[in-house]
Amino acid sequence: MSDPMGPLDHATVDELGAALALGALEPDELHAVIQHLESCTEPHNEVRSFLGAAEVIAASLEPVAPSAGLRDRLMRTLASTAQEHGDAATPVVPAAAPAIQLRRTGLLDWFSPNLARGLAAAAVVVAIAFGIWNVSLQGQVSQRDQALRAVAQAIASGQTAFRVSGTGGSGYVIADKNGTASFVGANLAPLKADQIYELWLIGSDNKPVAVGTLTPSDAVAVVPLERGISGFAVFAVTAEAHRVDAPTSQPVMTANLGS
Amino acid sequence: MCGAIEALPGEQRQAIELAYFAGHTYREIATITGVPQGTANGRLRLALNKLRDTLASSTAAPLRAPEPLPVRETDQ
Repeated sequence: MSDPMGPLDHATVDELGAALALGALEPDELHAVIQHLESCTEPHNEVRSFLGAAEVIAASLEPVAPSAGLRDRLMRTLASTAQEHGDAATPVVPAAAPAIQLRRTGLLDWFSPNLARGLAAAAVVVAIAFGIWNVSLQGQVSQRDQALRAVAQAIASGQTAFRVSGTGGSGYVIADKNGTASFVGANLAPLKADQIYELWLIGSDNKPVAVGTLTPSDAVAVVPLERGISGFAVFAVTAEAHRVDAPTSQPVMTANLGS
Repeated sequence: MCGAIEALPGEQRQAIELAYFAGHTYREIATITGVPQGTANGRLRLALNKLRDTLASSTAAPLRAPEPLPVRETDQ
């Protein structure tokens, strides 16, 4: 493994933006760039723009399994990140790879402040390594592409994406600067005929607020949330028999909104 | 998008293909193509810039210059 790199400055991170978006960084560079972006308050607009473009490009092309070289690099990055942050990185490996995954550019999660720590960076790397592969195997290209386009275009237009995952499927909560948000989900697990998914926002008082419903019949679900996410810490999805005022079951998908 | 890639100058298309489809890093691309690392990285930047411009002119919701990243405090 390469020796760890020291901290990178803004200009260097910007210079590496395209390679970052294309998954063409060495593990030590990827690690250093992620570390910089996690803590940097600068906008890094060009990096952000490259990432958004790469997401759309990925969604525009037929999926391919990641090359052995890419997987090896990702896993080396994961190993170094896990080592740095202790064994806590292990449990975040998705048991079932989320349906919405990025082929060569899984760094949308950079935009999620809750993934702004090394532990989460490890999850990103694992998700890239395994998610790409599974998407290809599962042949869920169309759904993934539609969701990716929505997410990429939202991010490219200055919105924030929070990753949603769980046994019920995966997706993103996309929020604009005013907190207005939508849930974009794909490959949602089928429900019983009389069930729906209900969406919740949960604040510091731990009290869920219902913000919408959906059925998993659509290939890609895009549901505007009935309230902004400002002031809420968690987004959750439960399976319910009908719309209810309080959840009657455990969440099947969640996202940490970091508020 | 494949057409946009095909339309790139040869060295940029080669860099994109080596990075995106073959999984090489820009350092590896530099070695493969016999150019300095900075040149390989620069070709990736130029190529992705052009592809981004193509996307911006072809997508229904055009890509535009993003606003500064929303900064939110995390639980620390």
